[in-house]
Amino acid sequence: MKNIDKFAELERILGARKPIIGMLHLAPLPGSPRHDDMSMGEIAGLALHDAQLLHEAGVDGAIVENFGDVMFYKRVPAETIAAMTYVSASIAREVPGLVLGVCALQSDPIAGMAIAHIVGAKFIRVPYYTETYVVDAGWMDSVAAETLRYRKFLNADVKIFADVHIKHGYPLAQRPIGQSAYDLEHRGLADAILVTGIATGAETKADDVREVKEAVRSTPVMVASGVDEKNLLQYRDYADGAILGTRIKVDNDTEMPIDPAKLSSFMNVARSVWPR
Amino acid sequence: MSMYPDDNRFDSFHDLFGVRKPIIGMLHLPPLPGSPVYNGAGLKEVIGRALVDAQELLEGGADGLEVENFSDPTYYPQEVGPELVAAMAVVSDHVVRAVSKPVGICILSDPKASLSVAHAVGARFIRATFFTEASVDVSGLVLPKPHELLRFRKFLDPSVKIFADVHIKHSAPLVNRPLGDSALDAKYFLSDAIIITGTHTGKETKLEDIMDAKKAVDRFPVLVGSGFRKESAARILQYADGAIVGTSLKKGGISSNVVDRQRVKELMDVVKEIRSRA
Repeated sequence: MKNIDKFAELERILGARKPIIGMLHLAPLPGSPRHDDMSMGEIAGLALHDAQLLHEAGVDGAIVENFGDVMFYKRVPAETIAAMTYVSASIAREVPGLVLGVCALQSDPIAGMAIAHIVGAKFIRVPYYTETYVVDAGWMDSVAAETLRYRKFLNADVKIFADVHIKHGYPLAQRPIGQSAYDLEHRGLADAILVTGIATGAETKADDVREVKEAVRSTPVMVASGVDEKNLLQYRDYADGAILGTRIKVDNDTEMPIDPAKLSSFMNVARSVWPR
Repeated sequence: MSMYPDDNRFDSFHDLFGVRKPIIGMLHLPPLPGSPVYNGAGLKEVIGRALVDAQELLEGGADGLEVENFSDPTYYPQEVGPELVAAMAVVSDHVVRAVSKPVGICILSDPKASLSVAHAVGARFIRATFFTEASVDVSGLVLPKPHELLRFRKFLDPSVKIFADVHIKHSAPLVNRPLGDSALDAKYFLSDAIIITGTHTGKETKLEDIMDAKKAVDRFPVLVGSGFRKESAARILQYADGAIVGTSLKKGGISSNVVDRQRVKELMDVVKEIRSRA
């Protein structure tokens, strides 16, 4: 068994020691309840627009996520896999310098791993990875064991970024977040651990980030909701990077396009908090 | 007889290809990720091969293309893994963007996955290798679910046509009914064309099978799906409304080889001559 230096690996795939990753929230995809007559070309076009902005602003990576597909399936069907692949492949082709990740909501790391491997994305985000959570869809069970074995089967160079006590979900067993993070590192073999607030766009508690950071040894910890230029500094000493979504959007509305001015001023702050 | 009050499937089939007796060329893909014989080298070569074959087929005069994960045996009998859906989406997207002729998708053997990919990339038809009836193939019992597939098409994209095999090669129907009866069911239960094959890839389709099927479905597209070649084209196309062709257009007539444009041209010359006589 080789020891993997997860920090070095993070830097290898994202090209930064403290990476900033942007969300690409996709419009409702074919088959999902809110999908209308928007064509695949239009859906991909919107994502490409945001992807280009992220890339030009010097963001280190971007996560393609089927954000518009509420109410989510626990695991995604074939039409969602096909559509997410199509959009991700378009971005990979049109914005070749942008490192991609994939997040198949509600939480389907197997589909995410497949899409990532096929389109050359470097990581997946997994909202529900270890433990059991009570969610809007009922409950989510862990598929970490299957995911790790599926990665081996595909021989995929795809990292697993796993949330701990994710927003919109309630751990069935109420344990301290640090304990959950410890298991995520040692049993779940996560390549990075993501800490969030209570909802999309809600600020992550700095104390949670610190607790997680102190509980794990060798796994990067990233702050993954409600990050903006005003609050980034409080995570400086405990977070190993940040995932950026809602608060760089027009009107702070997750479904709106990215606001280039907000993005650029965030990146200025990010560079001073975590100099290159 | 049809469930459609105004059944225009025969015309709509011809409108899709813009020609009588269309010839659809197979893009037999090399092994894809997850396949037992995949080489681990990524999709670049696969895409390159598909695009070269597509160009050879279309410049040779073919009227459409079918993208198929031909090299992934044994095939999943029902639901394929997500790696295959994703890989087929990427490769098919490249093909659809590169050509102007209709493209079809065949993911063996998961027509819902094929439909999903077809919709995402803008392909026009799928091939459902099993559509009606129970069969036995190498993976055991095959129980297609036409009720689900048809509702799924209605739900996702009613514009995608379903070309359904009847008594397909490499398998046997569980109940040995006459081919014509099965062909009529496939028509009656809302496919858009049926495909008749021989016993194996590259093996000639029996003329009497084509005649039986055509007699049963009448004014409805019947395609030949194996062993079509220039020597027998005139005989076959007397009854069949078109053909899906792979093996005989490959270098040396070997399924896994690249497409040979000269062979395509020679076949299409024969087909054009047949069309001009009709």
